[in-house]
Amino acid sequence: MQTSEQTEWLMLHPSMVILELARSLRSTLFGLVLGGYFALKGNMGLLTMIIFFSIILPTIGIVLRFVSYRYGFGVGHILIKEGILSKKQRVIPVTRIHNINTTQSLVARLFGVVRVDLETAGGGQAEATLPAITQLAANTIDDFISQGKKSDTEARDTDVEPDTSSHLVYQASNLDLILLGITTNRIGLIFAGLYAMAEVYEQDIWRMVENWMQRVSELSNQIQDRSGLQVFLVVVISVALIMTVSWAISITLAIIQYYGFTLSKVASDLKIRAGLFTVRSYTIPAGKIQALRFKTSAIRRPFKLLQINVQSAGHMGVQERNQNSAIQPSLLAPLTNRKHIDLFVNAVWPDAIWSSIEWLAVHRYTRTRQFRVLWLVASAGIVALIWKSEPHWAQSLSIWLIAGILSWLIAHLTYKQTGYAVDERFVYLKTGFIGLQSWVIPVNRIQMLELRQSPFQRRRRLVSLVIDVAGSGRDRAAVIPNIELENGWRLFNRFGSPSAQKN
Amino acid sequence: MNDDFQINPPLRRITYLGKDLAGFEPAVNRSFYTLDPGVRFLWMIGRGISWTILLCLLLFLAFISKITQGSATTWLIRAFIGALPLAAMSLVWPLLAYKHWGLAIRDHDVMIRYGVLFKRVMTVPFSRIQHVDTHSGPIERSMGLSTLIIHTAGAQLSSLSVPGLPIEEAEQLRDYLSKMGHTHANL
Repeated sequence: MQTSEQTEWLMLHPSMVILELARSLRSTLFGLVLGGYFALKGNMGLLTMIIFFSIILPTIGIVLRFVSYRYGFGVGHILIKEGILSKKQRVIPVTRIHNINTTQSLVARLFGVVRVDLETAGGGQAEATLPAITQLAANTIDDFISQGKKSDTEARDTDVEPDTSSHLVYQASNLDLILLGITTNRIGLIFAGLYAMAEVYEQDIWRMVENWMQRVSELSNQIQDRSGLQVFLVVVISVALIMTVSWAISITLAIIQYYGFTLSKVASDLKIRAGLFTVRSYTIPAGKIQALRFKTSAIRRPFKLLQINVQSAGHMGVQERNQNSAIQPSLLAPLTNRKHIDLFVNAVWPDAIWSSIEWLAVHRYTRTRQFRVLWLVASAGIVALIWKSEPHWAQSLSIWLIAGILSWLIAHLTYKQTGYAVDERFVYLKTGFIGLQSWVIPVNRIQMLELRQSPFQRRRRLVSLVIDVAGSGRDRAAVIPNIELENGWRLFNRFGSPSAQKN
Repeated sequence: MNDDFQINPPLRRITYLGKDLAGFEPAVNRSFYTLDPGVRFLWMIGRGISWTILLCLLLFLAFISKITQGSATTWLIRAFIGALPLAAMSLVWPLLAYKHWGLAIRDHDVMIRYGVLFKRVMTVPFSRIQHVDTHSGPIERSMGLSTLIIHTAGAQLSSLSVPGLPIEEAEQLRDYLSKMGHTHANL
């Protein structure tokens, strides 16, 4: 490392000690609370031990780290060294860094510092983390990395003018966030709440509610069936209460997570910035995006609202995010109107066309199959019910018929809403029954293809095409269901051919 | 079929495609290279072992209940008797499955097909190969066979494995495919 001798070494911001200690305390919070509890019971020894292990020891470690931590800039790479006893020095080539994520917690904002994660292609942990540096220093690093990348592209290809323009693509309004909160599905929470209510049933609170209800119903003497009304009112009011509370929680969470959500395009990268207390920002290099997914749920669909996700290769997120307080790193837009899809698609791939897609229908067997599956399941359920109880033939038959009609409706809707389209460079897919899901997949991002054919499909000379792109693996696979064998083969060979893969 | 036969590995290469390969029909398609016949016995041994374990477990449970309750629980016995024909069928299945297994190396991708009732044809373009492994367990090794695993960056399918290749062939294929992976990567 010849360059390291001339490197000007920079230190972290001193507030790093406080911030890192806060982080470490947060992870040992449970132990501390437990220690406090036992201390109240007189076990001081345990408390001292816990304080020693969770406060004093980490503080020493963090101070030592602060003292030894240095970073600097070399030619085309960033250098980081740390360690008192065992010294560690890392050289990270700028070209290998593909995104810089910054996080600024509320405390960090007081000090005017940010936490910077440098991410490389390898998944999992960040390649390097600068726990606390000033915003100015962070900007310097950002500039250094983008400069380094630019000179690299210039060296490789002098014809291409590097695009350094930066423009805002999307900014979530407060209304968007409130809508996001309202339409977030918190059914689980509601049920948990209902369960808690039921648990409390035997206790005094409930009796109090009941007394209160009785008084309410005494006021409405005209109604004969008083007990029925009581039950009804209790149910309605408790559901309304739970809904309100869960909505309030959802809205608060949405605002904390996504406050000031902005998506901007800087050169060919996408930059996202959001958060109320802890402000996070991260970059998604456009070249790493494998697919775009649009999702809408039953509640959001009537309002033409949807969520836009990116599926990207490698690790993208902010470090140590937990479910409630961090932005989903794959989210391109928490909630937006359907008519804005083009905006996002074009920001990622300027030559993809969403609005003028001519959707191709899949084979009618899609409907037939789903209808059969649904009705079969329903029939099995009904048969099981008859088996277990006194058979009411007329009722059972009518339920069976209704189940059949419903199955057909669901199957028909799904069939109508399933479609695909293929152009020069992209595959477009959509499917769903009430909630809809669509994909835009660049053909040159397809990793693997699979044709599937069940015995039923074979009779009709149909196949299903599974398209696999790189990503996190939790996402649903993109499948074009039930297309003609020849067509399936054509697409299978076309997507796999080098000319399609090249662009 | 390609005339260029010097090419390593010694597998049939196909330049194209088309209707010739479109044989989803149960008939074995000549364009696909078959696995080593030994793999049938390998599969049978594998299935045999797992069925033996399962059946022994059932018998053991019946035995335990015989000791503790005085009589073997009837459903255990029934499950045992019911499992016997299933086990027999599952043991014969590899003979059928073997006929439907195939591997093809084309100019730009590697392809496999399998499935007796539910057919599958999968492809990995050379440019998408991340790395190629060969894997061979103790029984496989004793039969001189090896499994070839082709990894991609994909999320759902992510890898393609070809069982029952003679060890030497699998290794040649592995080297060939990883070379192709590298040369096609910058295509």
